[in-house]
This record gives sequence, structure tokens and C-alpha cells, in this order.
Amino acid sequence: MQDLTRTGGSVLIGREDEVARVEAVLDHLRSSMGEALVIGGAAGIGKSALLLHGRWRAEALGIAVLSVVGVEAEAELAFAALQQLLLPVLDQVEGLPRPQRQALAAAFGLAEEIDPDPYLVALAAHQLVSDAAGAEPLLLIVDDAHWLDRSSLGVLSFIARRLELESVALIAAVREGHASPLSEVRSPVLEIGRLSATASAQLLDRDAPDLHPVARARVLAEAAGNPLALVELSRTLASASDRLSQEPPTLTARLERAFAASLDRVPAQTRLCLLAAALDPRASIEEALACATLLHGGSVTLSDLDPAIAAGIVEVADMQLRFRHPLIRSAVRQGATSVLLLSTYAALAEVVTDPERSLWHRAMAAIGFDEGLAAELDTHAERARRRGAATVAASALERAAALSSDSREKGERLLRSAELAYELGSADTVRRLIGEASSLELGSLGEARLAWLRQMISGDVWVEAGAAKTFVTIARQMSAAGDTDMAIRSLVPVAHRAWWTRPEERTRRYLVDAAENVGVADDDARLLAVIALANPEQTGPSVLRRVSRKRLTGVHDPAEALYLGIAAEKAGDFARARQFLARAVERLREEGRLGLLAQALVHYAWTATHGDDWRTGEAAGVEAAGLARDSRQLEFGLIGELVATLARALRGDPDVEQMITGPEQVLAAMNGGPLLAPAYIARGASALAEGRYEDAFRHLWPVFDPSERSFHRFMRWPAVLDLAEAGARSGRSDQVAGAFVELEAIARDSEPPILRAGLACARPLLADDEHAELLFVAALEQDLTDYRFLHARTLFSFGCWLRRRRRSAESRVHLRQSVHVFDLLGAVRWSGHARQELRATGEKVGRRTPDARDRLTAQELQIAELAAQGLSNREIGERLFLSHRTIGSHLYRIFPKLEIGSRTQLRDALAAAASRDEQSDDSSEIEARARRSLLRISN
Amino acid sequence: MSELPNVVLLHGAWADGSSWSAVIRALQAKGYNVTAPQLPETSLADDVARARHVLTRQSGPTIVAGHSYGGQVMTALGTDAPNVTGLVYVAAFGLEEGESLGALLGAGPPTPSLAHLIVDEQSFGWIPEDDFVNHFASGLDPLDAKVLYAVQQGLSMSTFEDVIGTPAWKSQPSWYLVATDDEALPPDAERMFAQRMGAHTIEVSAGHLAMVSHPAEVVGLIELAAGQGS
Repeated sequence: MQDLTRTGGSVLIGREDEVARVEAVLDHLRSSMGEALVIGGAAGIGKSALLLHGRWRAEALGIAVLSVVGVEAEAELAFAALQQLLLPVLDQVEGLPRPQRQALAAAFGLAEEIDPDPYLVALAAHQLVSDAAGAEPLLLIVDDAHWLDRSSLGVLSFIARRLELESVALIAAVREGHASPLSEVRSPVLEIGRLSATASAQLLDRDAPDLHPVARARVLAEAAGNPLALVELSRTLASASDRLSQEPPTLTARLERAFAASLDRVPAQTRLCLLAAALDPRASIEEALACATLLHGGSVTLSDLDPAIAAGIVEVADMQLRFRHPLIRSAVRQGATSVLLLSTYAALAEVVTDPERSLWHRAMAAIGFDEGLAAELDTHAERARRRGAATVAASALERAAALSSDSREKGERLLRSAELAYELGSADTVRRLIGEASSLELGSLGEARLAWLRQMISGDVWVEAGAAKTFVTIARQMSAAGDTDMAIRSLVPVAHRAWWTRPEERTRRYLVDAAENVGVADDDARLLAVIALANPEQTGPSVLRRVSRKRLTGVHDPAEALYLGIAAEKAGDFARARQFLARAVERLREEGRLGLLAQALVHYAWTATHGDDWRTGEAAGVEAAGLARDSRQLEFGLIGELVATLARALRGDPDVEQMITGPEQVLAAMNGGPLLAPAYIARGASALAEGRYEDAFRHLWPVFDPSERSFHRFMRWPAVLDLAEAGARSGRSDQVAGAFVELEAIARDSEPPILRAGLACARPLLADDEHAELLFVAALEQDLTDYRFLHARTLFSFGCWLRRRRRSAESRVHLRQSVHVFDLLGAVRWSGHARQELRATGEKVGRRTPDARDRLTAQELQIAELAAQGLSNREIGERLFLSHRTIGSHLYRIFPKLEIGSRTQLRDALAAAASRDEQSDDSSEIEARARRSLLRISN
Repeated sequence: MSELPNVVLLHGAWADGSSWSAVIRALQAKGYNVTAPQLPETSLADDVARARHVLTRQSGPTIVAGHSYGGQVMTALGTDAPNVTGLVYVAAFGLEEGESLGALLGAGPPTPSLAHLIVDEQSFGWIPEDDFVNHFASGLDPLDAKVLYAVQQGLSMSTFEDVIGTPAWKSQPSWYLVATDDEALPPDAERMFAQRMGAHTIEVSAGHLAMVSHPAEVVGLIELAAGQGS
């Protein structure tokens, strides 16, 4: 029959499409096109059967399989699932670099606690899996993924996002109604629906051929295409109970009831054993039997398990009891009275030797207050936190709080738990915990921490009025309680918001005052970042003065480097900012701190792009977007994408629109407004490069017009020349000049370097003929070494201006020079415009020789350059958080693009392109000469 | 002659109001006001609601007759059926409090009509054509049986699970027609129903669709319930 699909001896009925999809994953895997597939569907719908088919098929194809099943109770055990998954390949851990090996060992509790970043653990696991896939492809199977501990899930998501070029595939099953834990991975989801009526009947007739026709019809109707229900309900119905669909409203509940009925038929001591196994999924058979013996009063032995095995409730595998279906486990638990649950936990605590599990059992068995146990849990939480298992730490602290009799201790534990939950992004948990803590006596610092958390999770904080006051009050409270460190940290989020939204000037000043008075050193990096973010126009010069006191070499803490970079960036000194940010990126990369790295990369991308290094800007933006997804920092990821797109637009990619709309839509839904400014700026830059001045103006104007939603007070700064050019060339000079009145005042009073440079170059474009020339000369007289793109565009505009006045000789000098710099920067479109103008002066101009590097994507270029420096694939992989295999695959794509055949030629191929960069040194000489000649002419 | 009561006819499962055509024609000829609603068969509650809807629209005393599953609907009207003064069961279910169709039908050997019930994706049951013509409509001309097969309505299988509360027959006088050659509902079960409710009972050697094959007997029983018979 056509709709019979064999799965390792058994048959999957009515699942041809699903089976085909799973087999496609395996086929792709054999061509090193790894992918992640999530299988979704109701309990009992056949997810596990499909996974089993996948396993069987994989083994038949010579694909190695690692698998793990999520268990409800295990959500509290950090990295438990990951450890189980990787167990068969853990012996290959020796091949990993030392920090990764240590991180993994610490995560699994096998070594000294060394405080690994969770992402380092993820990286290590990724490498391990990638290495394991060396000899033969590897399939990872995760069943009941919704019950995996969150630490393991984080790692699997990390891996899932990096499968594209690997010989590793991941198939995970997630029960319907549970948020897909891999949803951020954006992997395809195969929803398994009900079986068709025909397939249902076929399955039921195969499984229960002798069922009474009426019972058969009832089972078919009740099971509604759910295979597990078909099988289980037919048993229940056949064995007496005559009503199916009374009270339990859902099929799952009915199934649990059906399972409960089968439990009633096994002896009491067997049930005790099952309960022990249900409450501790890690319990060995030995432990389960010992626990049952304690509870039963008489010896419970292996033979007591026979009835449960015979009834198909459990099977024995790897010296553990495995429930045939997770619903049986919940049925076992639900069938126990609360008293029995407590005594079973107590018995488990006695028989289980593993200290972590034993502690949990004691915690679950405890009634009332138990400060000693609470303190143990507290210590355990601290250890878990250092192992990178924040979820576990949060749960342990919450349980510790419940056992604390002292209200102060209780409050402190709840607060710490809430703070961890906040870091994990679980707003609901934070809400619950601070709700509980708010009735306790917390002390003034505790109250302030509570208030801070409440503020951070209160709805749309981006725009909420009065938020500044609340934050300042909190910071003052913290400061008064003696914790100035926490006080300044508490102001960082609101300062970020102040930069991204439109508070009134006095609110900005109020925030600056508060930060300056918190009591930290006046060159504290966080302080500088806060005041620069909150009110750059007021604090800019002072911030830059204070930043300049810092020696780059003296800054070792990457977070400090990041904050100094942010401070300099917000004060408008992008060149200086970039140095600190590069430092932060480098250090964070070394330490494997992906969350902070994603943030640093966004700032780095922004300053690199405006520092005319678009390849770096694009690569950093793309990388930031990826890492932000890994670390669930939505806004950072979107902004990173947009900055990368801006860099692409500047490099002359005509098709940026499609890369803008995606992130733009998400940002628009978040609050729209100033968050959208980067999208408008990228669009404007793209239109400008293509000579679509009307469009460019239309895109850019909303960033400059305070009556528009997307007006951004500070993002205007680096875009002033764009607006001036678009406006001047579309007949809107007056409108632009009007908008520049305020900006000129800001440039005079606060002196942001980026704004001053931009305005100087913009002025001649808006001036009348009488004044334009002097303004051009003045613009070119500035030191524009950090602003080569502005410089080239000014040369270009001046050249055009001169040509229209028939001063061809002078015009040529400028245009030639602009062509040179545009080529150097890789501003393909601009270079084209400049060549055209140059030809119009009568000069013969060759075509631009394309730069080999333009043929590579940002990421490919990044990899190619590292490889050219002599780094191995493994070293490159470590730096970019990719596996060495992925690096290898990338290089194979890169070679033909550069028309080379091997790694050794890479250096030469890139050097050819880079040699032009070196010419830039004599180009400054050329520039100087051009400037001198210009002065002679105009005098 | 005293005033005639209204007559409301409730069809069974896998059928519609047209199964009462011959009975309707005869009763109308005698001057009865007859209503034979189409029951949706989407759930017992929906069917009872439709029956109540129609009963409320009657003015004056009303006799309700139900065939097969129509008897289940009738029974489920409970103790406050509007305007109803008597119940006529025609080869129909007359369950006791706490019973359900599924349990009852599953208890004994399966009847040929239900041996191959098809359950579709929406959990509605349907009788395949062969079983319908040969067993469900046994005793009918196969051509007529095929017409009835064509108008077959699917029955929501949830109706098999509904448990009856206080049956209507507890508070109403009842009449029962046992179809002795019934291949859908065992005649013995029909006799048991009749006996339990203390119905005035007649037996007719007919198949399950007795009101199609033996309309005169069915009309006679309804007239008896209407106080017009002898």
C-alpha cells in the first residue's frame, strides 16, 4: 500500500509527507548542508515516531546520531540535556582549545568553577559537535525539546544557527502549546497534524483488529486522528470503562486519565518505583528501587518492575526506567497524593548520591521554613550562576526564598532571583517575584533594586513619561545606601533610552546631574557613557576631555572600553570611539562574551561605517545581528542589520531596499519614531549614491524634521552632508538651510567633530555663487583625514561647480582627486559619477578596475583576511564563533571568487587590492598638492 | 370529535425529515398540524435545542414521535418539554438516566448496520452504502433505500458519549413500536426500552425504517397517542 512507510520494522501510517521531509534533511546532510528542523504537534500526534524513523533512516545511511529527550523535571538541572546529548563524544573534548574545554567541563560540573560565559560553553559544544561530524555526518535528535533545561536550549539554538555549512543536522520535537524554544533560530517547523480518517482507521484496525465496531467508531471519533490516542483509548475502552469523553476537556487530559487507569492495575510497590522514576528522571533503576524500598517498608526488587514493563508503562534502558510516553510520567505524578509526593522526595534525597539532585529533592521535600537548606540552595545558586546556568540559579534562589524564615533573607533571595530572571528576559517571572518581594522588608537598597526591576519591565519604557525621575530616585537611593557602583549601572538603560527618544532638554540635564552626583570617579567609563547618551550636546566637550585622559593601553576591562567607546561616539568623535570599540570587540571576542560583544559590534559598525571603512562596518553589523539573535537582544540585532545595510549602500549595492524593510517593520512595531532613523539614513545614502536626489531628500528629511516621528536629534549629525547634497540638487537649499540653523548652533556650542566636519562640507552646497567658492576652500582646508568620504565628495562637488563655470583645468584637479579617493574607499557609484564629470571636462578616463574584495560578502572578506594573515581555520572559527568546518566551506566559496586555487594565493590576491590602500599615503601628498594649487588659484 | 393535538416528528440518525413523508401525508389527510424539523445532528444538545425550538412554536397539546436517534432527542427533552402531552417511540432509543448510546451499543453484539461505520475527520459517523441499503434500510425497495442513502446526514459521534439525565418518558405517557426485523437497533433492546418506560407497545414485522415501510401502523400508533384511536 502506498501510505505505509516503514520505520525500522514498524510502520508509520499516513505520514508520507512528514517522512519525506525528515529524509530530505538527511539527504541534505550527506551533502554537508546541515539544517535544523523543528517538528511540532500535539501530545501523541507522532513526533517521537517520526524522530525514531529519522534515527533508523540515519543509521541506515551511515549517519551518526546523538540524541536526548527533554524531561519535565529536568528544567532545573543546568546543561543536563546537553551533557546527555554529548556524552558519546565527550572523549573528543581533548581536541578543543583549552578555554573551551574548561568551559564545557565547568558547565557539566566536572571541573573547578571558572565562571564561563554561557556562550563559551555554546561555542565549545558547537566545536565538539562539528569535530564529531568529521568522519561521518552527524544527526542531533532532541525529543520533547520544550522540556530541555534552558541552558542546554541556549546552546542548541546557538548550534542550530550555525549548521548551514556543517555536516550536522538537528531535528527537534516540540509539543503544541509550548513556545518553540528554537523559535529564534527561525528554523522551519514541520507541523504534524491529525491522521486522515482513512489512516486512523487503518492504524486502529492494525493495532486493535478485534475492537467492537461501535467502540471502534467511538475511538476513531475521540482520538480525532491522534495515533497515541487511537492506541491508548482502544485499550481503555476494551478494558471496561465505557465512557470516553466525560469531564477531561482535552485529549491530552483524557490520555493521562487512560494512562492513570493502566497504573491502577500494577501493584503498590511497582507504583512507588514508577513514582520515584517520574520525580527524578535521572534516577537509576537502583535508586528508584531503593527509594521504593524505603517507602514501601519491605524490599522492592527488580522483579517488582515486571508488571509495569508487561503493561507497557515503562521500559528499561541504560540502567534507567524510561516511560513509554511523557504523558505517563505526568499521569504517575498526578496520581500521587501531596503527602506521598513529599515522602517520595524525602526518600529520593536519601538514596540519591549526586549532591545536586539530592539537594533538589530535599528542597522539594521540605515543609515550612528551613534556613539551613535555604542557605545550601543559595550557595548552589551562586555556583550555578557561575557555571553560566542562570535559570537554575534563579529557580534555586526562588526555592531558597520560600524556605527562608527571615524576611530580610527572603527578600534578598527573591530580588536576586528576579534580577537573574530579568537578565534572562523572563518578564513574567520578574513580575511574580517582585510581587512577592514587595511585601517584605528589603532595606533601602533592596527597595531601590526592586523599583529598578519594576521600571525595567513596565511595558513600553522607551517612551514612558516620568521614567527619568523614577530611575534617578532609584539611583539616589542606591547611592545613599552606599552602592555607587550599582547606582551608576542603574542609570545606563535610561540614558540609552534618552538617546533613542525625545525627552525634554531639562529631563536630559536632570539625568546628567543625577549621574554626575552618584559619587563615582569623574572619568568612570559608565558615567561618561551615561552623560554622553543622556545629553551629548550639553556634555560632549567635557566627555571628550575626560575620555582623552584614558590611555587605550591602560584599559583592560572590555566593558570599560565599550563604555568609553560609546561615550566618545555619542559625543561625536567617531575616530576616537572606534579605537576603544575595536579594543572592546577584541577583548570580548577573546573572552567569548557574546552578549556584550553584540552590543560592542553595533557601535563599532556604526563608527567604522562613518569612518569610511565600509567593509569593516558591514562585517561588524552582520556579525552583530547574528550574535544579537544568539543573545536575544532584538533591538541591537535590528540596528546592526541596518548599519550593515548602510555600509552596503555606501559601497554601491543598489539593492538595499529589501534589506531595510524587514528590520524596519519590526522596529516600527516597537515604537517607530527615532528607532527608524537608521533605516531612513540607509535609504537616503543609497538614493544619493544612485543620483536619485528627490528620493534621497524624501528619505532623509524625516530624520531632520522635528515634526516627523523618525526625527533623531543626534543621528542627524553624520548625515548633514547627505541632506545638504540631496536638498541642493533637488532645489531645496532654503529648506535645508533652515534646518541647519539649529545644527550650526550645536556645532558652535558643543563641537561634535562629526557634525563640524559635515557642516563645513555642506555649507558651500547651500551657499549662493558669491560665497560658495570660499566655503569650498574652507571645507577642504579642514583636517579631513578621518573623513575621507566627506573629503572626496567635497572635491567632487567643487569640481562640478568649477566645471560649470568653465574652469576646466581646476575642475579636473579636484575631480581626479575625488575619483582616486572614491576608488580607494570602494565607493563604486560615486566614483562613476566623478569619472563622468571628469570626462565632461575633456579628460580621458579609464574604467575603474574592480577591487577583488568587492566580490566577497562582508563575512567572506573577514574570513579571507584572517586566513591571509596565516590563521588556521580553527583559529578563525574561534574568533568568529563559527566552526572550523564552516570556515573551510566559506574558503572554498571564496577561492573561485578571487580566481585563486589555494590558501597560499590568498595573501597575494588580497595584497593586490590592499596595495591600493597603501597608495592612500601618497594620496594625502596628492591632496596636499591639490590644496596648495587651489589656494594659489583662488588668491 | 375533540380538537386534534399537533404532531411533531423527529427523524433518526443518518436520515432527515423526509423519512417521515408517508406518515406526514397520512396525518395531514386526517387534519393534523404536522411539523417534522430537520435536526442538525451536530450534537445532542443542538438537536434538543432544535426540537425545543419547534415545540415552542406549537399552540396547544402536542404529540412527539421519534424514530431511532430521534427517540434519544425526545428522551433528552427532560421533564419540561414545552406543549408535549405524549411520546411515541418508533424503533427508537429510550435510555434511562445515566446511560449513553455508546455504552449501550457497545455492550451487545454489533448490529449489521453499524458494523462498518465510517468516522470522518470531523468525527461524524456515516453508514457505507452497502450497509445502508442492505441493513439500515432493510425491507425497503433498494431504489427507495438508495434515495434515503442519498439524503443521509452524518451524525456527530459525540452523541454516542452523551449521558442522559432524567428522561422525558418519566413524566410523559409513552407509546412504542418495536420493529421485529430491525438490523440497526436490536429488537430486544427496543422491547427492553418499551418495558422500562411502561409504554403501550405494538410490534410490527418491519426493518429499522418502519415509518417508511409501514406508515399505516405508525400513524395508527400516533393516533392512539393523540387519543383518536380505538
